[in-house]
Amino acid sequence: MTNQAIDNLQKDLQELENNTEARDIFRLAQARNKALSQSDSKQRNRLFPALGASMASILLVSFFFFQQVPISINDEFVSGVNSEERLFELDDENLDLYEDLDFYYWLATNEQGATG
Amino acid sequence: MNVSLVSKKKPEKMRLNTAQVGLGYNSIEDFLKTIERRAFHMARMATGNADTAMDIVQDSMFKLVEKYAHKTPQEWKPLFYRILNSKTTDYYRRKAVRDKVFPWSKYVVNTDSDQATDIVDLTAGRLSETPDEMMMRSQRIDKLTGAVNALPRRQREAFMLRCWEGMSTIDTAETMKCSEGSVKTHYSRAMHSLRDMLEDYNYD
Repeated sequence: MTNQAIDNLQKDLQELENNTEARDIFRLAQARNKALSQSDSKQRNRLFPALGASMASILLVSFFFFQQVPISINDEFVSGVNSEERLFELDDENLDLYEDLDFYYWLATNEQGATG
Repeated sequence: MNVSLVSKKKPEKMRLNTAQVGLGYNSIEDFLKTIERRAFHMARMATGNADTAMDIVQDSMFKLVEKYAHKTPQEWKPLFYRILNSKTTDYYRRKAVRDKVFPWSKYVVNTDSDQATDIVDLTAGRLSETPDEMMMRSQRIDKLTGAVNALPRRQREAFMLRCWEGMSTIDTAETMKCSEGSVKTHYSRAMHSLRDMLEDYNYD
């Protein structure tokens, strides 16, 4: 290929580039802007896992915290208010001991009074 | 318009002090502006389809900004063309697989607007040219597009980078990931093939 032919070829290629259709120029500008704005959205995307992990850990901690509170309330409830219900769970020997508790308490106070 | 709104955010972050380098661009946005049309026409010549070419250019821009925005501006051009060539190769691979799986897809009529529109309508008006000259130029460009499209991939890459982009043999070799000798061979063969196909260009 002669130098003249190469020059003509380059000229035509340049013309082709310069005479790009308006529609294609607009689409190229859109593509460029999308490409340039992607790193902003990337940074946002990077925040999502960290945010999600922290939210999940907060939820987990709060779940265990609120689950433990009713258990302790139940314990107090069982030992304090509903103590009679507990009596059914005791065997006979312990039941007798529980029923005579008032007597042992009176005996102890009397002994203390006698010694004191 | 949305385009102008979006474009104002990013360049501030990526602006690099390269005015002294004399590249003609000092930010990645300016670089993309200078290169996008040429890249689009290169991809269109390679694929024969404007929409596919647009996708390839867009993907290349995405990858350059995502992976190589932190590189020096001198490195952007070879990297961009390397990405563009790689994306074009990917397109050919996908097309080959599609043609194997769906053999009838080869025979589907190409509905691309390039083929449907008259070439005269695609040519921008120039006051200095007569309609005859415009017509001749359009026909030459059409023929050139066909001839470049018919070149083997490596020869086409060498031709586009050397002849159109005006890159040196060293830069072309770096972009094509081959030796300078290979670039010279590919380019020489491409010019030899084009000489046979493009006799119209031997005018003064």
